[in-house]
Amino acid sequence: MMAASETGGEDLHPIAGIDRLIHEPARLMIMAYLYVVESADFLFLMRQTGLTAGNLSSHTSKLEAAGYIEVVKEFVDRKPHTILRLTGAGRDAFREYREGMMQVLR
Amino acid sequence: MAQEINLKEIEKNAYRDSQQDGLMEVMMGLILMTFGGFLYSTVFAFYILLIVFSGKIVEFVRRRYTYPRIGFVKFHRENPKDALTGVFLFELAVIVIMFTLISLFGNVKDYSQWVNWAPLFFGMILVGPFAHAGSRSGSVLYYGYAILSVILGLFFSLVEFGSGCTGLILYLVLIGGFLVLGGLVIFIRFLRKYPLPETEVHDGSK
Repeated sequence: MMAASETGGEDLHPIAGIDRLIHEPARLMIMAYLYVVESADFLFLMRQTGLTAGNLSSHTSKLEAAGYIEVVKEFVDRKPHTILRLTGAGRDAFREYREGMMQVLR
Repeated sequence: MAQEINLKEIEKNAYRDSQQDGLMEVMMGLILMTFGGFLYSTVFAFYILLIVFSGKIVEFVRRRYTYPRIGFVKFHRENPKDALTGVFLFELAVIVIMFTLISLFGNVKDYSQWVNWAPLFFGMILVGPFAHAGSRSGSVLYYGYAILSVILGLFFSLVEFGSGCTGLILYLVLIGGFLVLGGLVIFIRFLRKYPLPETEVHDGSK
């Protein structure tokens, strides 16, 4: 989250409170897709978002590090299978982000 | 940007994508055909087995053919209370419509009239799941199925087939067969459209 002091105070402009981690378009897409489903695997997200495997992996790592998504790795028929889902914190953060942006663009 | 995030549309896209293999149509068609067969020769056990294991069978086929091609997604479960209320109200509405129709054009106390109109009754019942799938996916195909099931139901109710449930059996076999064939065509197109990735898609981590 962007610190309010960096931009001159949250009260000066609501956009200061916008979560920059989610605001990046690729991560926003990932968050939006995971928000509307319970869980999805790596291939499904890759196809829906149009991101390459490397890009998706890099963005999901950042979201995972922030505690917004949970990444479960398992083996199906001896092949690696990665399932992703939003955590409670991620769901709340996305909701706040949407509300914040609505406020900004109103 | 938030105004551009249409979550409903994203959910519809994801749902439509997850159902594009046609397997739900195949399974629904098989259930309807088997039900028609059950009315004819009482293969009750097979019908029950098919209903009980339909989800597991579809999941088994999807694990083999669908998920390796387009990936796996799990949707939020609908609130069972809301779903049951919706189903109950819809069925009640269908019964009221049938009762009104039979009162207008015949005698509600005559059992054979109910049997004659059974194809239309089933056709209207089928509108429920098709309309539900249509509204969830935004795909007009499901609304097409709903309209077809009612039109065929009306046709098989109006045509005389002699005694018993012949009209209903023919209706179920026909609409079921149509769904199975349609689903298989969609499935074959799906397999061609999405060949297995040559290199395995991996998330990049070790």
